[in-house]
Amino acid sequence: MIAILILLVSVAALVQFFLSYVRSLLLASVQQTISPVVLETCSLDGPDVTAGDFHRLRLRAQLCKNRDGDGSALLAVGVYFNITALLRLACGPLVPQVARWSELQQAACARFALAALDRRVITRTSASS
Amino acid sequence: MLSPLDYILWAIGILAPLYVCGHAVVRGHFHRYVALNLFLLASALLSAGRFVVFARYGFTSLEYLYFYYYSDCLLTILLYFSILDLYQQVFSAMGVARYMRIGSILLLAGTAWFSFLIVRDHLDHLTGRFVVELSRNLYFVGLVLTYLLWFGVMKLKESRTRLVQLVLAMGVSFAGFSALYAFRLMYPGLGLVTFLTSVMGSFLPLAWASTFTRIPEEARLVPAWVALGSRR
Repeated sequence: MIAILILLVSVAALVQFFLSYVRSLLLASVQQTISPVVLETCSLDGPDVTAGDFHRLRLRAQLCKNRDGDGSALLAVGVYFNITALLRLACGPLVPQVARWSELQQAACARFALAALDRRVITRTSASS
Repeated sequence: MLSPLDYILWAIGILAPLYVCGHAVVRGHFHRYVALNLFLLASALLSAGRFVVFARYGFTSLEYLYFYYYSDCLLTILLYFSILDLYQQVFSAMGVARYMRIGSILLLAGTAWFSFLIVRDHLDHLTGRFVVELSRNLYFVGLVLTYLLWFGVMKLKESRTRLVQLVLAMGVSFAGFSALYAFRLMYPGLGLVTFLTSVMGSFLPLAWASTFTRIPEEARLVPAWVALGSRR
């Protein structure tokens, strides 16, 4: 009985901490400026990206490997993206606010992937020069 | 038999903490987060030690089992003191460091006493049982303490991005380990739990490595925006 109680409390805390952790990652990436070279390479007019850009940008960031240790953060953001996508799929048609919120979150995930790509490109460029 | 993924997780468990410590020494902030760095250093050393014991005696040996749980208990105590390090950072302006130190030692002693009360009737392998029980209880106490710390961060509007991320990553780690220990209590011998424990073990050093590498000390954010209820 106590084990079940501990499990429930721990899982609830785990979900809350994990989602807050990912949101802190997303908020930190918003402050990062994106270099024009990366924007041009990704065929983007500006740093404002949409939810649909996430997979493309994450793939590019993954292809541009580095040793800066943000692979785990990108993985965590990917999990968050999928959670919000599921939420949007399940509750979006019934509650429009949830759909709007999920879309904002997914766009923030795409912005994070763009920022990660930018960091990796800069690291590689400075390493090779 | 361990899979290649297990070996990768093991390597991460040794290399990632060393990376964070090395980074802290190079950047000169080892003393600023001294308890965190000592925990990471011990984590790397004990992970390497576990590998040596595993290579010599095997994964299912009694020697490995003992080494694993004793080292886990030591790491849990060090992680417990790492929370206090973060408490002191968050509440530094209030000048309550002395009270926190006394309170933390009393809480640790209380947890140890509670753990002893649970296992004292089992006269066989009393120390071994005590060590496992202490780890399990400390993970839950750590989770509660981290939750309170997070509450303090929100109330005091602590805006240091690095500190916020360190606290949240610690919360994920404590909650994950606490859940896994509870799960192990309900379903002992489940292979998935062992694998998830390895994954959880590599999460904290990786998350901290990411934070210390990417987030400068002067970076700021609004903690209320991180909360789940926020519309941002």
